[in-house]
Amino acid sequence: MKLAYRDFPSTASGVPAIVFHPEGPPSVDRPTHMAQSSGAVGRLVAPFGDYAFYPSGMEVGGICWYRAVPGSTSADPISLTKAVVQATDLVDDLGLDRPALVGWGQGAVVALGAALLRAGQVGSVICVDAIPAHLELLPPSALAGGNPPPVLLAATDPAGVQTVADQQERLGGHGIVASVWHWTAYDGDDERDKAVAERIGQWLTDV
Amino acid sequence: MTESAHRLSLGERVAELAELPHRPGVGPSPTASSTQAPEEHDVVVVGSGAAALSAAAGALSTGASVVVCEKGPVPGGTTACSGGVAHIYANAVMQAAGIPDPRDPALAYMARVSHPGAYDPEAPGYGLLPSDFALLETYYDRGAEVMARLGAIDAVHMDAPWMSWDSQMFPDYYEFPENLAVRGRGIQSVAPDGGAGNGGELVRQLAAFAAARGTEVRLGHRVVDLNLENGAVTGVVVDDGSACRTLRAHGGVVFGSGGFAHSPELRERFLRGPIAGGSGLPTNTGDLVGIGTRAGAVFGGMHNGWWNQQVLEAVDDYATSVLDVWSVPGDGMLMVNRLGVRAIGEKREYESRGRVHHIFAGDEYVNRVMFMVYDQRTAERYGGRYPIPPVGAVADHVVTGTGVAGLAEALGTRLAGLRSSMPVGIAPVALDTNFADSLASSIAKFNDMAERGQDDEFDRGTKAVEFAFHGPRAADNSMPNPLMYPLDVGGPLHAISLVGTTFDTNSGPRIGTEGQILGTVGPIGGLYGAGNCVDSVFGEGYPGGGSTIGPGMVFGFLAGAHAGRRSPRVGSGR
Repeated sequence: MKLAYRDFPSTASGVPAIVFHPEGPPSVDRPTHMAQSSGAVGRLVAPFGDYAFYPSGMEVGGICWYRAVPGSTSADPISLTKAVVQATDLVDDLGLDRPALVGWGQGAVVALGAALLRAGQVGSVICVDAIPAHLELLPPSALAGGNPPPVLLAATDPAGVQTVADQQERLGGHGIVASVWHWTAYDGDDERDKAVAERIGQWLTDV
Repeated sequence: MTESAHRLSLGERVAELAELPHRPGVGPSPTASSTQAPEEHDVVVVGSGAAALSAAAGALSTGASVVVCEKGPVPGGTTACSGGVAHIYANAVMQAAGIPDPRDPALAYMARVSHPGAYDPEAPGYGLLPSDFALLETYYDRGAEVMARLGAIDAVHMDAPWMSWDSQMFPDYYEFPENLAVRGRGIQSVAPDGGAGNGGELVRQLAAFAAARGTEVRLGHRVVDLNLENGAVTGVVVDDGSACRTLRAHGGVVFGSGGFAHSPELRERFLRGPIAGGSGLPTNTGDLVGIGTRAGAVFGGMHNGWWNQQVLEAVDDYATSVLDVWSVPGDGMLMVNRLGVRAIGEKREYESRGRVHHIFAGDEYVNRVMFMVYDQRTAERYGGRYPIPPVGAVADHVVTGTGVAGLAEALGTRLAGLRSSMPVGIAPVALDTNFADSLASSIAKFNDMAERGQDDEFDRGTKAVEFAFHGPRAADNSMPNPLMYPLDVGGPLHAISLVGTTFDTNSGPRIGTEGQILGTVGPIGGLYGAGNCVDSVFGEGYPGGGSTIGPGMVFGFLAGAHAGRRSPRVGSGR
């Protein structure tokens, strides 16, 4: 099935972006707001992943991109690959001019996978708060690299410096060079989102 | 279609890209050179869902050594995708809450749901085959005991009631007079935060228990055959993706390996009606069917599964969705077939909705695709509750038209476009020439019934389970029946196509009361099974939430314990 998505027309001049939400409530509002607040994004498309039970119970309506393995840092590579293929289909269908792919959490892993498989069509990719081990579960042909677009690995948790270093090392093992950034202020969600938006804007302007 | 013209499905592309062992189309690995002696274990467990890991816990409780072989890349099986509920009679939660669940009516309820064609309340064993009734008796008698035992050994504490949104215990799926305890039989694991754990948490706890006792869960290890000596199982042949090796099992081999929902061939061979795969793991391809046949197992109920619905465009054997159409959102919503006619109370639980696709009427499987039709109010009020997309989303699986005629035209065009890409096992479907008129009539009738609050056709909104799945009454719905609201046919109307699917099949070799797989002259020594890979204790029924996991855990634990005790090495000071 094709991914459902929301399509936001340009509110500012900038590169087109496809924003991949984190796992959690069925909303793309927060990641969309962060990307738009960057001031560097033009048209923005925000796809929705798969529906799931919320992690802690049976309430339906949570969204995710793939199946994580509870109690571990592992995840199911079959469902992850499915999400990556659906994301590449979206990139193909939309036909945007070298869009930036921006993802959070599981969405960051999917964005990276799609960007690596569509390197010639994607302008850059920003991965925020991906679980490092999940990067290794991307399809082998994606990790084989080739000529990947510019990659920014970002983390906002207190262990962010280690997180991005871990991510960078894992991708480096596959010959994929990535820039890193981590948030250091830790002074509230709003400030964090603002800092992430600023970094997205700076990155997109630079690349 | 020529080979070159074949457009790869999403699942085929996923399989090709992921490059995992044991994917469709990849043959078995070569046999390893036999210079090494086979590994020695007391019990080999196949699969790593609730049935398999309960078997491991049962075997470990006897002091046996256990190894778990999981074909897939991650542990947990279909359990890990589920709510993790076990349907257990007279369980400790019910006892603590003072809910009586007496044996005879509980057995009558199970018998009626499981074998409705044979059920006779006046007959011995309620008209069931003695072996079928014996399994139900065992399930009643030992279910709560096994749950208590799993708690006592700290494998998993199944002490959390499965609660509904309205703070009531979730109801069973049938309110027959025999059912004296409609609420309380669904129980879940207690999560670390004290709340109820879902399937992932259930697996995490059982896997942690096994790991702490030295049991390894070997991922990507597919059991492809059995070793037999004098008619008894002595081990398995396992393909680790590079070679096939032998593991010796001194006590026995317990299969908890899932059904065959994702084997198109086995679906076509055994299931009755149009079934388009399932929402369980893509690795559920029925390995025990071939293995059990070669071992001389007796099979039963090969036509059975745990039925549900899925969006037509979302069905794919190697690219399953995380969730099926678990509940159908919306009050201003009805479901019609290609004739434009309703066929089910739309708010029923997934099992009843799934079964409606199997009806053969008018010389065809007339419900093989059902159309969930709803108006703009419902789209906005229930947007984001699968399968209704979030408000404002572009969603390919939703067909929209203005008014009934516009919707019928758009739906007809969509179905014509899908003609060459229908899911395996589902014949192409076209709308009847009178579909638009019939749909208009169905909506008008539905609207009238909604105004009156009475569904004269399917009693929608009369069962506790419908309310549990629907959730709270919509704020703007002041109709007498909170599960019904008139559709506005003057504006946009939307349709989503649904096909009949299954969480997984629940058919395979027959088992005895200790989970032994049966041959023609009794149990096959050293061979056990539990869960979706064997003939379901519940026959063709689904008494309540947790009917999949409950028997899997109970008979899995009993089987593992039996296999452990059977090993001559257990208790011998090895």
